[in-house]
Amino acid sequence: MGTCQVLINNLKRSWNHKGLLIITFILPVVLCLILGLIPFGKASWRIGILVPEGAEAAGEREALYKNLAQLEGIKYEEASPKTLHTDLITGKYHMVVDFRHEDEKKPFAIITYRNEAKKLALEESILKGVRSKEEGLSLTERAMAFLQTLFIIFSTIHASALIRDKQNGTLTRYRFAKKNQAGYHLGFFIYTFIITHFQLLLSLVSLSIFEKGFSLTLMEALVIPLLMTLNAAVIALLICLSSNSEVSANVTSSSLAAIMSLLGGTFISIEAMPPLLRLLSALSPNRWIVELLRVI
Amino acid sequence: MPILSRMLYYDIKRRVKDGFFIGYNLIFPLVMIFLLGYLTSESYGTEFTGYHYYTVVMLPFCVAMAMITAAYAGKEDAYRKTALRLLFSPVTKAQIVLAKLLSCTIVISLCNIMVLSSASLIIRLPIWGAFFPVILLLTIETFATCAIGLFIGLGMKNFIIVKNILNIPICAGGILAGSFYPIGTLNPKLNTVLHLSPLTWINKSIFLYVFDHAPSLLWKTAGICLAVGIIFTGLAVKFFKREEYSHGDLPGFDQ
Repeated sequence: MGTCQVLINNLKRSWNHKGLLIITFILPVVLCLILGLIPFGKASWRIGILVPEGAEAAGEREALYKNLAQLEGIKYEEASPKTLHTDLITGKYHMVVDFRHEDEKKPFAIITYRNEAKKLALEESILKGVRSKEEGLSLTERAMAFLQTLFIIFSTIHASALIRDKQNGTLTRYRFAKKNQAGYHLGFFIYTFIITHFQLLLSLVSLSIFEKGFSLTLMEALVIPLLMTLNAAVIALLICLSSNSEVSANVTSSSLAAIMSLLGGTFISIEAMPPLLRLLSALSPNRWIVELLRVI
Repeated sequence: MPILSRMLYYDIKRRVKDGFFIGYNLIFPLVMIFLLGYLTSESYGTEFTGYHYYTVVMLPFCVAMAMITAAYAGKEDAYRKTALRLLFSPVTKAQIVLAKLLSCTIVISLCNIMVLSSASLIIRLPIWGAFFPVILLLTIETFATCAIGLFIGLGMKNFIIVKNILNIPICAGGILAGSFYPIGTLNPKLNTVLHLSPLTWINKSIFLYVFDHAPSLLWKTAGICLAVGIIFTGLAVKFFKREEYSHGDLPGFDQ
């Protein structure tokens, strides 16, 4: 009975904050649509080309561009020597092919901050016209992993009312009414679960409509969102129970979600991680979601 | 001036004693730099490593997240029951705002200096020639984000909505700016989207200064951050709400 009261009161409270409710419904969809634009780990090389200045070089440049255009999965443009290192560091180019100091043995030099294996792979791509593939997540997998990250943060926003209730003495009043504190927490958990699940389903429907390449089978759509919500609600409740203030709960949830997202392979593929972190990534719910998508 | 310095002293003491505040600005960036650096260690070569990359991009991101702590710092007098005393004393709104703003800026900047110098020493980031300009930019960014945070905490009626969703746009801005993973593109539309994040400009200006010896973007970015900071400080003073400041703790006040 007490749990039901807590649940209903929280739903009412949530309904009274329509602004927050609308924003938390719209934000995940907008962020996922933006994320869909970002080509994380797609099988293509972005190459900057440094060529010598002058009229003679123009013909050489044209010939080079013709050769590169024949290679699949390679995007290229002329690089600026003034921003060369920044462009490489920020990932605008994976590598820069420098034709300015060609000699007879090697027509170009490769400038990169990537590891030796990737450098050799690109060299081979250019010389032999072979496309190198990098393993990465599909759009659906990435969107689901990203939604898991987002909904840990959103669930904490909903569950953080628990901290306010503790500070305001509402929880104490509830206990004076001879009701079990666990029931209060359960009410909060169910409330967080319901509202997060509803938001998540709406985000998935919106993504299916607006995002090309995002698709889930019926089985996936039934099982995975439920597990994602469960993950998010449990983590959110644990954060709120262990935090003294809303600010610490909100910031902890963002930090934890970011770490889980990184460990779970949302940005960096698990294959590219060091062995220890590959093991640790098993702790991340983002990885479970991606693995589950591959299994179902 | 003596009033402001006295309030500043008390506010700095509060910031320094706040374990969460210090932990978030000192320990969290270091943990993230070493975790992410290790995570990407197999992707980078030996000359420039993941540790180098994340030392540069993590600090501006953490400074941006300080907007949330600054927003809550605006409310702390209400929670500590000291707001009414200050309102009854001969203290102006500007002094209250400035004391909070400067205390947050000073303490976070000191944390930034410690993180940047210790990380640079440990991982040998070639930043020493550019250390002071980079710290200056981070300090100005801190000033701007704290000013925005205080404007939200002290001047906005619907604080509950803003404070709850504040970390989402900051994290999104961090993702677009490559704070978690370098996002590069040759697609002009996506490039425009990436440059919508102020953190993209800040990260880019530091990289340009340190690795390409091109200082102009750093000074321009610092100038814009300073202007934004001054504007939001003015707005925080102008829209300072006595009710929010003194009764922000009451049950139902912001519900």
